[in-house]
Amino acid sequence: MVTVVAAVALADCRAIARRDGLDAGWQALVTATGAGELLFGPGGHGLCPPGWQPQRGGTDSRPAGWVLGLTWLRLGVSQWLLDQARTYLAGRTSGGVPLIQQQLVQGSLAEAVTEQQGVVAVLDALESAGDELSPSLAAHLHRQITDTDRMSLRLLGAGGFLSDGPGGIAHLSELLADAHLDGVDHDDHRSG
Amino acid sequence: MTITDQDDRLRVLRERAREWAEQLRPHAFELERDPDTVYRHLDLPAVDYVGKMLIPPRMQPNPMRIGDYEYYGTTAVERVVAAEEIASGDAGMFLASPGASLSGVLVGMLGDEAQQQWYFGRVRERPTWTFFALTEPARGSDAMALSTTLRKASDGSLTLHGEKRYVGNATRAQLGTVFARTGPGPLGVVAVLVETDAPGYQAEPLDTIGLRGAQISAIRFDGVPVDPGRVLGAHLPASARGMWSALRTFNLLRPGVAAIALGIARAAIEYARSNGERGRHREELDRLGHRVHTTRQLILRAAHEVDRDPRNGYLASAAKAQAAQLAEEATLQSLRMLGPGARFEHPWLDKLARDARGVEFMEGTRNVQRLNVCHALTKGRFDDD
Ligand SMILES: Cc1cc2nc3c(=O)[nH]c(=O)nc-3n(C[C@H](O)[C@H](O)[C@H](O)COP(=O)(O)OP(=O)(O)OC[C@H]3O[C@@H](n4cnc5c(N)ncnc54)[C@H](O)[C@@H]3O)c2cc1C
Repeated sequence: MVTVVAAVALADCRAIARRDGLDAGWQALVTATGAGELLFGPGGHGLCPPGWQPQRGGTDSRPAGWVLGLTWLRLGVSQWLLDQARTYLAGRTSGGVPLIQQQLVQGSLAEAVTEQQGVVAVLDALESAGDELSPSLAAHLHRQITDTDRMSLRLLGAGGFLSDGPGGIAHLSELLADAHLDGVDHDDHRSG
Repeated sequence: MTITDQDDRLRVLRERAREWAEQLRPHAFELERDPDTVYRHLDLPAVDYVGKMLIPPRMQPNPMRIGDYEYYGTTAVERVVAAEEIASGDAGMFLASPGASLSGVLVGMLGDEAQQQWYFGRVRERPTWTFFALTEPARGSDAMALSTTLRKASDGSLTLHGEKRYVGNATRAQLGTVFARTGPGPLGVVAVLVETDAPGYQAEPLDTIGLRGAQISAIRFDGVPVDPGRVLGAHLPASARGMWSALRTFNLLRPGVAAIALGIARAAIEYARSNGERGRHREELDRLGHRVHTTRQLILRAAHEVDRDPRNGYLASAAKAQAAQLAEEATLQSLRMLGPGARFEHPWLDKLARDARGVEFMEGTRNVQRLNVCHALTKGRFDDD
């Protein structure tokens, strides 16, 4: 019997992660790139699925498009987080007014979505030009995603500091970037 | 006391607290995994000092003594110096420590003599954990609208009903203070003293991403009986009891929370400095160092201000917002400086980055602090500086 696996484009990782969360996005990334279950980054670190048997080993040869796909994935997770924050803020009030109507909150939401759209714009342009994502640009985009996620976490209140739910997912997303990027985006480079 | 004596007193405390902080680090990960390990560390001087803090001198025959000086932790200035240093060792252990904490300030402000003797007597007698329950599942920043109620039966007996959430130490505490409603509006809020072995009290720890020593908890009050003598501030006018007292408590302790954030930021920067490649990122580290310095000065100024007049918490709001931001940014930046895989190679920095996320919410979020600061600005509070 032949199983037909729908082809997953790297960019689809974003929509899948946004809709179904990090786990689903990760599966999509693995499918899209043909990566093994456990892939090590440049420092020899990787995140393993729950119940992973260490003796099964892993690989450190990154398939083509891995970092680009990871960027789409983390962007989708970032959008998922912001969606969680929007839902939370719509359902919570201060002085009888929903938090989502507080202008300071609206400013943060606008800032967060602007940062995300910046990443979308860069990745889209890159893909249509068929260009590579350079390590330095990748590091910059991931930093932008992390900073955006921190905005969403602040908007989620102390609930976003719990290990379960958005707070834990955001940490996992930060760990993924740390394990898989070459890490060259420092202030040194920006100012130098 | 002259300014010089005061400066020397604080210098001595800072130096000593820095040594205490060193002794916390080896236990920090263990405390994260199992917050109950704090019980094994009650003899550490930092934990001992925190346990003695905030007990009024007239009730504290045995304060922390260093050289010729005695330390009671009853001024904000003393607390910020100690808090920065201890938190640079481990903010989790600072928050896990027994002591009078927030409730102590509240009891000092609202309690009558008998209530103070009872509360501080308990805290002084043996290591005692306390909690301060204001936040509710549906009410955080808007605590004014809290819905936990203190019901009065026809025979005059009182019972507590409702839920609180994210309350530090509420699972391990022996006693604490709870804000509850007796009627509508801000004047319909009172604070009561509660013992955790009372029937109907139930607390459960919440699993957090950082500051796990604090063991923030969810509490349920299922008709917890409250002795009328445990209602705080019955001898004061209603306007001085309820939310007003919570706000003033926050004013007094907010510089200390800012200092905890600063301690976390500084620890990250010091770690990056000594573990990064020599000479690399010097400019970036220097810039962060300057931010630590300016934030510290702002915190000290804010602490002096609330010591002078506890109503003046606006500078403390400015300092807390700035320090929480610095803690997040400095921890993330330090991780980046150490290159790919830093979260895994340097778990200490990963811990600091996780802890930094939590200080944002303690005693009010950045937005809430900003609103306080802007309110003060429009009232002309900054016109003379
Ligand atoms: C480590 C830790 C320890 C804690 N310890 C205690 C404790 O001991 N006792 C206790 O009672 N509580 C404690 N808390 C809870 C803390 O006080 C609350 O988390 C805090 O007040 C924020 O409330 P919230 O989490 O419900 O966020 P929310 O109030 O739901 O805020 C969500 C978002 O909306 C923003 N926002 C809210 N209102 C406004 C507004 N009017 N204008 C603009 N923006 C707004 C906030 O800034 C935030 O970004 C603790 C929390 C933590 C993380």
